[in-house]
Amino acid sequence: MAGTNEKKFKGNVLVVGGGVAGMNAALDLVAQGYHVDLVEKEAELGGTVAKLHRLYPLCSCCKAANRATACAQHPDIRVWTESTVSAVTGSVGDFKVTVSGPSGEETLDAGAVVLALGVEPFDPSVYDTYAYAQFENVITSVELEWLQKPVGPFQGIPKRPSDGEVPKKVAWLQCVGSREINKCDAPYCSSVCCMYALKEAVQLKDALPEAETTIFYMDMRTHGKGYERYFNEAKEKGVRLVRSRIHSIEKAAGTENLTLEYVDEEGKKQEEVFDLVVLSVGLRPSAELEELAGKLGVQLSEDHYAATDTFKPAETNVPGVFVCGGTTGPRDVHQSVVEAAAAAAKAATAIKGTSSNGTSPEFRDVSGEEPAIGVVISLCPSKGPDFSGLMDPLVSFVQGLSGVAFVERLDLTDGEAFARLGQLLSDKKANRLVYASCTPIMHQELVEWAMKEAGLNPSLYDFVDLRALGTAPADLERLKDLFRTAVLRARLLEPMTYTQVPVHKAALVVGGGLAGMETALALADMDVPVTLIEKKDTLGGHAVKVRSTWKGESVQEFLKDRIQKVQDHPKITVLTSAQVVGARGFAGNFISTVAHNGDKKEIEHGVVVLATGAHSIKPDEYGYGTHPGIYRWSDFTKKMIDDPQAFKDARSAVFIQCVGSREAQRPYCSRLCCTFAVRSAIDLKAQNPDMDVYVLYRELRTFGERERIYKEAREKGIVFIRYDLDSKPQVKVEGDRLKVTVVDPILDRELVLTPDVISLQTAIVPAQAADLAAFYKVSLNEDGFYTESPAKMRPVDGETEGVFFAGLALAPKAVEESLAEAWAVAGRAKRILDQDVMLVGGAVAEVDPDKCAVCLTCVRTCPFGIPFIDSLQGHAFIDPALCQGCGMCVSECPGKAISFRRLSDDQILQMTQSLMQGSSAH
Amino acid sequence: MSDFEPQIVAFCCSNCASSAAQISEKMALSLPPNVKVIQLPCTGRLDSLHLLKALEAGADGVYVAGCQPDSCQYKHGVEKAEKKVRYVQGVLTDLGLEPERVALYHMMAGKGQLFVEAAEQMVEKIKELGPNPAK
Repeated sequence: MAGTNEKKFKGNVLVVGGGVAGMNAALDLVAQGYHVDLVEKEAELGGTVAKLHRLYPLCSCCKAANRATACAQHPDIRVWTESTVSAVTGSVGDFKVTVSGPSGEETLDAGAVVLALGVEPFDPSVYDTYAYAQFENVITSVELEWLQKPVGPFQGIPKRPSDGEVPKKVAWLQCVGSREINKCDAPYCSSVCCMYALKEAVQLKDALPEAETTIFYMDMRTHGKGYERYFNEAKEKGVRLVRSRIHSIEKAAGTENLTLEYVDEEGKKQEEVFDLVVLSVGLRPSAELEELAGKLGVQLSEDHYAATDTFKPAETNVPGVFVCGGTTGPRDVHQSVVEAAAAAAKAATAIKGTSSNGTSPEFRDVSGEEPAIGVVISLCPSKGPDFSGLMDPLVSFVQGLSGVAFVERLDLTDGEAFARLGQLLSDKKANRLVYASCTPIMHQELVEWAMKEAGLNPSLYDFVDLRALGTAPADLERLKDLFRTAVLRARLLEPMTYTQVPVHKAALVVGGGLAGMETALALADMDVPVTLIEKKDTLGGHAVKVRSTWKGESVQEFLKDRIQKVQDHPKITVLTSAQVVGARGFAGNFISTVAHNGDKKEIEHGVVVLATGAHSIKPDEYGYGTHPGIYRWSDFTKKMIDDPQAFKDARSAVFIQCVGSREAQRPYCSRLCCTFAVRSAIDLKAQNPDMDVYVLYRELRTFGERERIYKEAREKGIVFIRYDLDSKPQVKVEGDRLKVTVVDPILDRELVLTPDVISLQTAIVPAQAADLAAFYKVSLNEDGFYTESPAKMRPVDGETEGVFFAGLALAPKAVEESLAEAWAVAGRAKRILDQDVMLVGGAVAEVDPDKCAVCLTCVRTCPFGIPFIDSLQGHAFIDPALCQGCGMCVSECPGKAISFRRLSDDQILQMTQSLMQGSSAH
Repeated sequence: MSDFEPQIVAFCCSNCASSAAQISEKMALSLPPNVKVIQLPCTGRLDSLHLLKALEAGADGVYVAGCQPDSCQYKHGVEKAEKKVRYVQGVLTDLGLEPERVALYHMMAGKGQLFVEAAEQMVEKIKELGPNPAK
C-alpha cells in the first residue's frame, strides 16, 4: 500500500469514479495533503468527458487528459481501474472499504468517501418513437461526438452509418429522454443538451460549411456563463432552429434518408427530409449509484441521483460521504468541477489532520559542477515498434554527446516511474535533465517533483517532444538534431533562483453576502483566520431579498443562521462599512489596505476571495416606477418576505421575463429569473387558487431538476405565454389599473391581461468591481463579471494565483451554486495556506536596471499588469512572485533590458543553430 | 529543384500548439522530417531577431504555430507574435527575399491535424521558393 511511503498524510479519502469530477476531487485532495484511492470501473480514467469531441467554449478536452495523466502518475493517488467498491463499513474518520478489481479484493481505510460516479447517456433504443433501433441513420449525440473527433474513425468529418456518405442535411432532436416528453423520459431537464447540440452543429458547419444544420427544440436553454453568446453566434453561423416537437421519423421512400414530420410555429404541418438525425440524449445517473448508495446508506432523490440538502451542497445524509458532478444531478462540466472542489474541501474538513510535508526542499548548488546531463526517454505505449526501433541508434548517438551522464528509458506504465527517475538522478549524480516524451506538458509537474526528490533545482531540465514524429530514416536524423539541441540547451541552463517567502496563513474575504459568508465559515472551519469585509453596514448582501430556493426552502432562516455563525466565530473578524482601497503582494503574501470607520489599516493575508455580488437592474421599460403594482423582482420578493400575504388578494399577477437580459446591450442570460418566476407563481397560486397567474417568457429555462416545478406550475393552471424580442409585451397604466398586451404565438392573436401586480425579472448585473480587479490583478469580462483563470477547469480561481471568486460576482447563479463555490474556494485556498513558505521566482522576467530607459513598454505589454516603475530606483520592476513567465515583455523591450533565464535569446539562437547544424553536415 | 528538401524551424506555443501536436499524435500523423520545433512558453516570447537568426543559421523557412487569438493563456501573446512576423516579412521584402519564408499559423487542439497540415504547407511553399539565398 501507498501508506508505506515516508510522507505523512492528513488522511486517506476514497474517491469513486474517475471522470472529470472524480479526478478533480482527487487532485484537489492531494494538493491539500491527503492521500487518495481513486476507484474507476473502466480500464482508463476520463469518464464521459473523454468521449466528447470538444467542450464549450473552445478546447479544454485536452485538460481532461492532463488530469488523467496527473492522477495516474501522482505519487499520492492510488488508481484502481476496472475496479468497484464491493463493501463499506464504518463511519466518518474510519471507513473500511473493500475494493475489488482484476487482482482480487483488498480492504483499505478511508476517513471520508467522495462519490463521483457520473452519468450515463439515455438509451433511446428502449422506445420506438425515436426510431433509433429501426433506422441506421438515426444516431445519438454521443455517437456523433465520436464521429466528429479528429482521432475518431473519419478524422473529424462525420459519415453516416448506412452508406458512409458525408451528411449534408442534419437534424438534432432535443430533449430525448428528458422533460417527460414520452413515457420513458426522465421528468427533469438534462441541462447540457442544448449547449452540446449547438456545439455539434457549429462544429459540423466549421468542418462542412455547406452542410445544413437544424435543431428541433422546445426551449433553448443556454443559461451558463457565456452560453447565450455562443447561441447567438451559432445562429449567425447559419444553424437553423425550429421550435417544434417531432411527431414521427420515417424512412424517405427508396432511400436511407429520414422524413421528419412536425408542426411549425404557425401551426402548419411540415415534412422535411434529412440525411442524418441526431438524438440529443439526456443524462441518467450511473447505473452503479443505486447499489453503492445502498451500501453506504446514502439517500437518493426522486430522480435517483444522490439527495443533497440545498444549503449543504456536496453533502449526503451520511456524515463523511460527499458527492459531486453527475452523481448529484444532471450537471455540466463547469458545475461538476465546482462541486468536485467543494466535495474535496468538505471531505478534508471532515477528517482534519496534520501532515508532514510542510518542509521546503533544499536544492544542491550545482554552480561549480561540470554539466552532467541525465537523458530520459519515455515512450508512450501507443508508439509503434517502428518508432521504438529508432531508439537504439538514437541512444548510442546521445551517449556520445558531450556532458551526457546517462541515457535511460523509462516505462510510464509503471506507477513508480517518477520515483525511480528521482533515484536515478541521485545515483548518477546528474545535475541537468533532458526529458523526452509524448506528453511533455502533462509530465512537467511530475518531472519537477522527481528533480526535487533528487535535490535538483527543477528548472534545470529541457524537454524533447516526441509527438507527431515519423519513422523514416530522415526522422532519425531529426531526432539526433533534437537531442543534440536539447543537450546543448541543458548545458546552457542556469539554475533559477527561488526565494522563500513565508505564507500569511490568513484569508481576506471581500463581500458579506451569502457566498462571502459561506467562504469565511468554510475557511474558519479549516482553522484559517478570516477577515470578512462588507461595504454596507450589515451582512447579508443580496440574499436579504431572496425569499426561497427553487424547492421552496426559506432562505431568510438560513441567512440569519449564517450571519449569527459568522459573527460568533472566533476565527472570523467582520468589518462592515469597510472597503479595500489598495493592495499589493502575491499568493501567500498579500497586504491590503482597508478603509473602515474613517481609518485606513493594512491587513496581511495569504489569499483573497472576491465575493462582491450582483444585483438586479432598475428597468426603464414596462412602466416601471409609474404604478405601485409594478415591481422589480427583488422588490417583489422582499415584499413577500416582509408580508407573506401581500399579494394574496390579487386577482391576477403577471411575470415578465428577460427584462434587460438577452438583449443587445446585455447579451447574457441571468439564469435565475425563470425559476424565480415559476416558484413565485406557484406560491401565489397556492395562497389564492383563484388568482390568474401569467408568465410572459422568451425561453423557459428551468434547467435540471427545476423542470419539475415548471410542470407543477402548468398543472396548477399557471399560463405561460411566449413572446419574441420584436413583439415585447406592452404595459399600460390606465387610471389605477394595469393593462398588459401580449401576442400569443399559439393562438396568433393579441391577449389583454389586467393584473393587479406585475413582477419584472430584470437583468442581474455585477457590483462595480473594476478597482478590486485592478488591485488584485484579475480581470472582468465584457459584462463586468470576474473572469476565471484562463488555465481552464479552474472555475473559482482568478488568473493571478491566490485570488479566488465566489457567488454572483462570477455570474448569475442560484443559492446552492454560490454555496458550492464558497467551499470550492476554501479548498483551493487551503492548498496555498497549508504551505509554510511560497517559492517565488523561477521562470520569470528580470529587469537589468542599468539598461532600463523607463519607456513603459513592459508596463503596457504585460497581459497581467505586473511591471511597474519603481520611482525611487528609476527603473521598471517585475515582481518575481507575480510574473507568469510568458516572456512577452522580454521580446518587446526595445532596450533589451529584460531577460528570461528559462529561455534566453542566446539559448534560442544556439538552439536554432544546432537544429540547422545536422542539415548542413550532410 | 525536385530533390531540394528545405530546412524549416517552427516556433511553437507550448499550450495550443502542444495540444494540437497531441491530437496529431493520436491521429498517427507526423511532421515532415525537415521541420524542427522549438517550444516557446508563449509565442509572445518570440522576437524578430529569432526569426531572422534562424534564416541566417540556414533555415529555408521559419514559421510560428500559436493559439487562436481568443484562447491565448497569456491573453494576447499570439497577436504580439503576428506583429513580429509581419515586421520580419517587411524586412525580407526590403532585402529582396520572399516574405513567404516567414509565416504564422493559428492552432487549435480541436483540429489537431492543423499542426501537421501547417508544416506540410510550409514545406510545399518553401520547396517552390527554393533554398534560402541568404544562408
